[in-house]
Amino acid sequence: MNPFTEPITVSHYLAAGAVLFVAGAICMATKRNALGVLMGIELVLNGANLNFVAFGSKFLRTDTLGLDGELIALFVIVLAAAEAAVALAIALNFYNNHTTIDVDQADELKG
Amino acid sequence: MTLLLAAINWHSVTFLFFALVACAFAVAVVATSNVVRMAFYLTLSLGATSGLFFLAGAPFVGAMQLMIYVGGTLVLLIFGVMLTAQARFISMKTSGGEWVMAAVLGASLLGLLVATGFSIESWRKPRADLAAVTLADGQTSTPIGMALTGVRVDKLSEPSAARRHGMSGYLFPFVIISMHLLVVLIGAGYMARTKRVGSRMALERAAPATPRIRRRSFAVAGGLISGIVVNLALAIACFAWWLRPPAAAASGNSLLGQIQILLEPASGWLWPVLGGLFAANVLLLVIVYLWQSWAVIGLVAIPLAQAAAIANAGLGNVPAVAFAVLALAPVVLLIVLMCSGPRPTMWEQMD
Repeated sequence: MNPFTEPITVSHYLAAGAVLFVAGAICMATKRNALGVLMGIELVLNGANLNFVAFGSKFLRTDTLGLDGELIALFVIVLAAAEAAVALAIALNFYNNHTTIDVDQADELKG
Repeated sequence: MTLLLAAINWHSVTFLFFALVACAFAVAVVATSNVVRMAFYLTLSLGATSGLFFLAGAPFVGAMQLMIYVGGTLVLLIFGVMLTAQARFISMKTSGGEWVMAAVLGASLLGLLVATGFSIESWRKPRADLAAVTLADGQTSTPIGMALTGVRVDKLSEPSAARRHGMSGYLFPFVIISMHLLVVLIGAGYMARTKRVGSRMALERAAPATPRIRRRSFAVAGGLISGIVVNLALAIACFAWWLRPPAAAASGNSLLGQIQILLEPASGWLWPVLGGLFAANVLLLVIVYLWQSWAVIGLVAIPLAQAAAIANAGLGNVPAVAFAVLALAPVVLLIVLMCSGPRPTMWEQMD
């Protein structure tokens, strides 16, 4: 099992995507900075994208998702950009009103 | 040496390089607490991911990843970091307990995902006829463009009728996402604009300090002692009930036997009920500790239910009342503690 001579399979891509996903999920859960939470979301979406592209790739399997994988990955990228813009606007608004960016302090709506 | 070099699969080497860079910097994003460094590591991680996209034969997605993510979204994030970069927000530490919890959860999630990824046979095998794949198979930008306008040119030669079903293309999602982007553009611009008067007033106001819970030593000590007594009584009674059949013959020689004789008239259903109520009590205590004050109502209700259960089980009213008083004492002291603290509780707000 020399990693330099073994051909790459879908499973390798899935493992890399899993690492990105878990890192993003932990980032979302543990960071107290609102921007850190946003970065965690980007990592999670990238891990999912990697899986989509791997399942659609003709270089890895005979029986693939085809172009659908790439198209869904494109849609995810565009939606992630939109989500980041809105979330950043919310974060800046929160910072303007509360002079803090700590998500633990954003509890005004708490009952 | 030349033989060794010839055996190397350069596809795998490139994949390993990009995957290691992406994963290592993703972990670095989690590990560092400096938000500026997090942004930089995220740039490298996402760039390496685009390399993985190129390697999987999706150059258009890789290029979009570089242009939209690394070029657009991350610049947005870095601007956000710069706009909010005050000294106390640059580096926000996460507590040790949360790290332990996150490490346990993350390790189990990672193990699950990787095991799943390697569990399917056809995912683990590389493509057998890799030589049949040409470079033209990787040139997908024209089919993607056609698919976005509603024509799936890549599916024209699809032999399976079931798969040809999805030939309608992505025109409708494309239109929806265009409208979505327009709405997001207007909304984000509206929300992020500077409100001069309000923001200046807010900026002059100091950030609220985290509330400090004033400790009342008698309340804490009384609650602890009372809680220990109640739990000890419960534990001893449950232990005696658990050992019941052999010691019933011993009939009161030891202390445990005397307790068993004392508990003899109780019905069998009492102990599971008491145990369940006790578990609910602990759960409510955790909720109250996290400042959901309403759970105190449950903390009052559970000792009353336990006392009613004891009274109904044939142990008599006196032990039930004693148990209720002992079990209610920590709750009352807890309410005193909460009402006397500087943080406005539910009751103060109602006043």
